[in-house]
Parts: sequence; C-alpha cells; structure tokens
Amino acid sequence: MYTKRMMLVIVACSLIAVSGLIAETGNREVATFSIQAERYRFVPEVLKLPANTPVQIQLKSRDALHGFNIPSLGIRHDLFPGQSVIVSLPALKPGRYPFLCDIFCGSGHSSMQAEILVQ
Amino acid sequence: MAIKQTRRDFLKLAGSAGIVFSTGLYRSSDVFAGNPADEFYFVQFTDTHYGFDKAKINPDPVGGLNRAIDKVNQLKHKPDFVIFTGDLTHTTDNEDERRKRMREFSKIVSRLEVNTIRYIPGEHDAALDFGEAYSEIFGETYYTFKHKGIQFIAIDNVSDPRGSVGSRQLAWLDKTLADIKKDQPIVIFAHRPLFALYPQWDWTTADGEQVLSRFADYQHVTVFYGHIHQEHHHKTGHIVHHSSKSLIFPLPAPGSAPKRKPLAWDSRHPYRGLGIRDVEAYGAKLELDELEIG
Repeated sequence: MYTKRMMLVIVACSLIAVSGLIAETGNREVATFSIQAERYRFVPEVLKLPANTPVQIQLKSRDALHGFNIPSLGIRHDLFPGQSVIVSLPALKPGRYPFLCDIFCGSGHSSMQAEILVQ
Repeated sequence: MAIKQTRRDFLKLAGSAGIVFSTGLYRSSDVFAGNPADEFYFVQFTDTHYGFDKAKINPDPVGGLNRAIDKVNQLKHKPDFVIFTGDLTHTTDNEDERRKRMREFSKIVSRLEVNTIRYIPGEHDAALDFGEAYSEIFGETYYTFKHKGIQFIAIDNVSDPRGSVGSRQLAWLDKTLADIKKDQPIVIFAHRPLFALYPQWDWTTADGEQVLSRFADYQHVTVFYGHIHQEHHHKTGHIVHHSSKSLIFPLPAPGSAPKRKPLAWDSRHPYRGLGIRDVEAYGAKLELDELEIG
C-alpha cells in the first residue's frame, strides 16, 4: 500500500516536472527580436528571421507616432513613443515580407520602408 | 464647339513640348449622352509639393508648376475650372512655415487665367495638423458641388494621418448621396487611391472600401486622384479610377522597385514624367488627355 502510494507520488511529480520542462522548452523556442521606429527609418532595415519558426518581435517608437504594417501578413499596430508592442509571428516560409510606416509622420515618411527576410 | 477646339489646343501644346496620351478606353460610360450645352472641360493638377528642396531629385521645384500654369494660360478656350488634387505643399513640422508655403503657393497659382480654382488636401498639406492650416487658407477639406450636369464630390482621405476618411465624413457622404439620383453622373476627387492599389507602399485608403461601397448603386462614377505621381487607370466594379502625373517628380510603377523612391532627374530631359490632365465632359462620358510639361 505504502509502496503503491509512493509510486503515485513519484509518477505525479514526474508528470509535473515533464510538463514544466515542456513549457519551459516552449518558451525558450520563441525567440524575441526587436524593431525600432524613428523618423524616418526602421532599425534594423532588414530583420533576418529563421524559416518555419514562430517568433516574437518587440516594437518600439523612439520619437513620434508611427505605424507598423506588414500588408502581406495582415499585421499592423500603432507605435506610440515610450510604449512597447509585442507581436507574435507564425512560422513563416522563406521570403521577403516588406513592412512600412502607415501613419504620416513627416517629410521623410515615404522612406519608412523595411523588410523581414525569412531564410 | 469650344470643347473640340480645346482638344486641338492641348494637342498643339503637347506637340510643341510634350506627349499626349489618349485614354479613351477608360471613358466612364457612354450611356448618358447629356445636354450638348453642358459640355465643358476641367484640368487636373496634382502633387506640386511647393517647398520641396532636394535639388538632386528636382533642381527646379517650382518650374513644373509654372510651366503647367503657362500651358493652361496659352489655351484659347479656358477650362471651367482647375482642380488641385492634393500635396499642394511639401510638409514641414514648422506650423508658421506650413502656412507660409500655402500662402506662397496660392499666390503662384493665382496666375492661372481661369475663373475657378478648386483644391483638396494631400497628406503633406494636412496630416500633421489634421487639416487645420489647410482649412484656414483653402477652406473645407471635403465638399460637393454640381457643375453642368455632373455632381462633384471631393473626399478628404489625408487629414487623418492614418489615411482614412473616417466616420464623420462617411456620415456626411451618406447625407450627400441621399439626395442624388442613381443615374446622376458623379466625379470624385481624392488624393490617395480609394482602392488598394499597392498597400505595400501605402497606396491605399484605410477605409476606402467603405467609401466605394456607397457608390455601388450609382451608374456613372469616376475618381480622379493623385498621390502616386504617375498616370494610372483602374476599375473597381463599374467605378473608374484615374491618377495623374505630378508636377514635382515621378515615382516608380507600383511594386516595380524595392522602394517608392523618386525617379532620378534627367538633365537631358528636364521635367520628364511631370504633367497635367484635361478632362472633357460630355454628360457622363469623360475623355482624358494627358499633357506632359517637359
């Protein structure tokens, strides 16, 4: 009886440990990248991401209100200065995914174009 | 007819200094013949960007506008009106400078020997202050008027820096259209394309579909716009969209280059790619001539 109860505890503890490990492993697998917007560019201008891998991107504006728009993925966000936005990207196929500022921000607004390069 | 003479005048002007493109294939409709007494024409100017100062891109930034004004003033039969479809001025953060540019621009275009000049804003004029300076100097950013059988509707899709028309203007549009018959020829002026021409370059209007859907039951609708600095023709359903060349610098065709950078100034062919458009109206039938000013 005692042995059986011990076995149950051991099994339960093992299950908890394993599930925790999976969760931890899952978190570790979602790498976070950064894109910063400022008049009149995105930094970096080309963000390289691994193919077929979900990732997160932290978006920030360094100065004014900007837009972040990836038309081909249907993803867009307002970037208010001083605030941070986390965007989750699904696993993407290799290719180029242009993004742009879609909130008019001044004389160089039209040059605020950049791209995500998935390879 | 004076209007027939106008086309000859345009051809003559182009023969001396440019190229005419006939866009008869893009006539809005041949259905509504209209009253011959109502035949008239107007001229579209767009994207003059007064205040632009990058000499490598355009070393004579007011030259295009002045040459276009001269062309119109040479016409024997003057247009009923000239419409400027936005980006009259190049944007600036300085509010005083913004107003100064607008006043100077007004003074230059006052040389036009026409009875009526109409304007709509572009994002360079209006987006940084939600149209405040523009409204002070040029008046309402959206409006409607009727001229010789055509209902004209000027849409503002730039005072919101997100490039949308917005619920307030859409409500105004609903109210305006409520009194307009479905067979009424309608011409829309806008700065940005009202359809998703190339969203990757922000060549679209965020809520453009909501605007166009309101015209779905109207039989004769034509849109004239600017923003993309080139001639372009497109149809969404039965609605025809025409953009015109700018008067400051041409931009590449949608998606033809990695970025929407101005095409290089060609000193051997100055002003190449810049131009204006004449639109002759015969009821709902519109005929377009593109006039290069180089």
